[in-house]
Parts: sequence; C-alpha cells; structure tokens
Amino acid sequence: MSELALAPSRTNFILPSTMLFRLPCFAALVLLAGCGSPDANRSTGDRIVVYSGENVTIQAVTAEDLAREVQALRSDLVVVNFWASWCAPCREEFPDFIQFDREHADVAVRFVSIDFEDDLPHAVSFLREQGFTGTTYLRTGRDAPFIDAVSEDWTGALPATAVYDRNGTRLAFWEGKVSYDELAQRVNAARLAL
Amino acid sequence: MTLRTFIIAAMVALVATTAQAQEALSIGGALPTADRVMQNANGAAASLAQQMGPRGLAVVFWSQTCPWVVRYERRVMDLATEYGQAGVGFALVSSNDPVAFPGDAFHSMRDRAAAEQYTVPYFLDGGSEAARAFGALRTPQVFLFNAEGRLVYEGAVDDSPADPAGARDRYFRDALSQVVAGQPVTVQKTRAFGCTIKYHD
Repeated sequence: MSELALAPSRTNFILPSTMLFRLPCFAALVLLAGCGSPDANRSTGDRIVVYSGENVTIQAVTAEDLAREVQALRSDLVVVNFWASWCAPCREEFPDFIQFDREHADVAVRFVSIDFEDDLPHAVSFLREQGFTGTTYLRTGRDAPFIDAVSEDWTGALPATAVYDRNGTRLAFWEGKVSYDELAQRVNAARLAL
Repeated sequence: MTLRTFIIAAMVALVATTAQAQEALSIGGALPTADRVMQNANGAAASLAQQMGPRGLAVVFWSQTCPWVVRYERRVMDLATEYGQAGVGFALVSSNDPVAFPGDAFHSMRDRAAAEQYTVPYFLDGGSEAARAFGALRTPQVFLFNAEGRLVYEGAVDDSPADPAGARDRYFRDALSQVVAGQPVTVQKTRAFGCTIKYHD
C-alpha cells in the first residue's frame, strides 16, 4: 500500500513548454482570458482546464494534482482508470467503469486520459459516445515521474487502474482490461481491506 | 490468522494471479527467439540473430498504428542510421494480432516501410512468439543487446514522446553510446507509456 506523494498546494501552475507549444490557444488565454470557442482552454484557480464543452470538462493533471483530486472527492473508495482514446482494450472496458460508478454510491470512478494533447478531440468524441458527463483528466508532464508516482508496479501499459481510500492511500493497482465482474471483485477486496 | 485476514489474503492472491504478470526479459538475458526466421516487410525473411552487428543488436517492438510509435518513428530511424554505422544492428518487430489491429497486417507494414523509407528490417512476429519470449508488453519498447548477445537495456526511447527537442533523458541513445564504447550501460531499465501489444490468441 503506498500513498501518492502530495506536493504542497500552490496558487498557480506552470505548463511545461511542450504543452504551451502545443496549446497556443491556452497560452493566449492566460493573457487574454478568452479564446472565442466553446472548446477553449481556460484556467480556473490552480486547475488547468484543457477542454470545456457541453457537460464535459477535461483538466490537465500531474500525479500530484491527481492525488489532490482523489482526496478532494471525500469518497470511501476512488477508482482511477488510466486510458487512451486509441487503446482498444481501454475503450472496451470503459462502459463497465461508467456503469460501476453509477451503481455504487460509496465508490467514485475517475478517468485519466494518457492521450497526447493534440489527440484530445478523439478523447472528447469517445467520452461523448460513452455518454460521459462531468470532469475528467488528461495526464500532463513527463511519463516516468507520473508512472512512478501512481505505482511501482506500472510498466506504463494501458489500460491500468488504481483503487484508493478517502485519504489517497492506494489499496490496489493492476494493468490490463477487466470485466465488470472482475472490477467488482477487486473493489470488494479493497473495501474489505479498509 | 483471523478469518477476515485470511479472506483478504485469499482475495489479494486471486487478484495477483489474474492480473497481467508478464515480466520483461531480465538484464543479462540472452537474445530470445534468435534463430527463428520471420517475414520481413522491408526485405527478405530473416532471423534476429542475422541482424546482430559487431557491437550489438537493438530490437524495438513496434506497431505502426500506435500514436507513440508514430511520434518516435523518425527518432528511431535516425538512431538506426547513426548507430548502424557504429556497428549496432537494428530490427523492428510487429507482434499485434492483425485480426484485432488490421492496420498492423503485413501488407500495411510493407506500405509503411516504403512510405516512411524504413532503413531497417521490419519483422512480422506471427503468433506473437517473439513478444512472449521477450516479455514485451508495449510499443515502442526497446531491447538492446551487447556484442555477446546479452540484454543491456530495456525500456523507452527517451522521456519526451511528443517533443523530441524537449527530451531531458535520451535513454536509448545513451545506452547505444555506451554499448558502442564497450562500457557498462548505466540506466538499464526505464518505464514509459506506450500501446499495449495485443498478443495473438
């Protein structure tokens, strides 16, 4: 059981140069606070919103940001699924995670996309196809520190899923696609360990 | 042991056995499937052993339908040119089940190799035998062997898939330089995101 390292909270967020380069609209927004498009990137407090459309908001997160988001949910159990729009097994298991979220009041399911920023439109289309609404995440920053912070068992393969308690302590982690029943079984095992 | 802890331990064990437990070839391990002849989308059928250069061999698991591979394509070709001249052989290996990934079928591999002017063998790993023997899980995943055919590096190309200029750690290049110089490789294993290989059933 390891805990995600928590950096002290901060008041602003500096995007890596690659992201500024790839998101000129966002860079412009910091200065102009407006981009004229519903898909505009905007910053809300210390959160970086890279997409905001009808009922879907995508926020860029480092592993530390993600740890804060998990704790802020105040849910007994938090399931975090790491996926990407091009990843076939990720797409296959996605509907089961949405269904599981709807059917379990004490569990919050969150998704973190590992897509490249310029593939964001593919991720958004997929989320819409799946009937997803609410806030979801896009991983930002370098691979290795992100993978290491989530789990020492993660090879980087997708999909991957972690289960946390309300303090952000990791109770379970696995790589690869699971069925609805397998997911339920693993979350139950984590619940017993609480 | 109370009943509750026993149940938890049993469930943890169950989870551990059902999760993907594949391990990549260990550092120091010998080149797997060395003499198996594979179809080559960029030349004549051959084996990995035949690609071994005087200074070593780099085997890179590949899938042209993978966004990570696409971003690393030019970088890997450039390394193959540079270190090929220094005596390291290169081979790309495509192990995805073409039923699940039609874009990775052999005729598509040939098209890609021609269009992108691949300069190295591009093998079709039928049955995913090589991927299983290497313990390869994702693309691109690098396995670098020294002149004695022993694994000296396994992992990522560098730490910046989206932006070549933004790389701080160029693991593969560093390992290649050390192999060519006959030095021990300092960073032997790295982890990175990539596309999961879909093995043939």
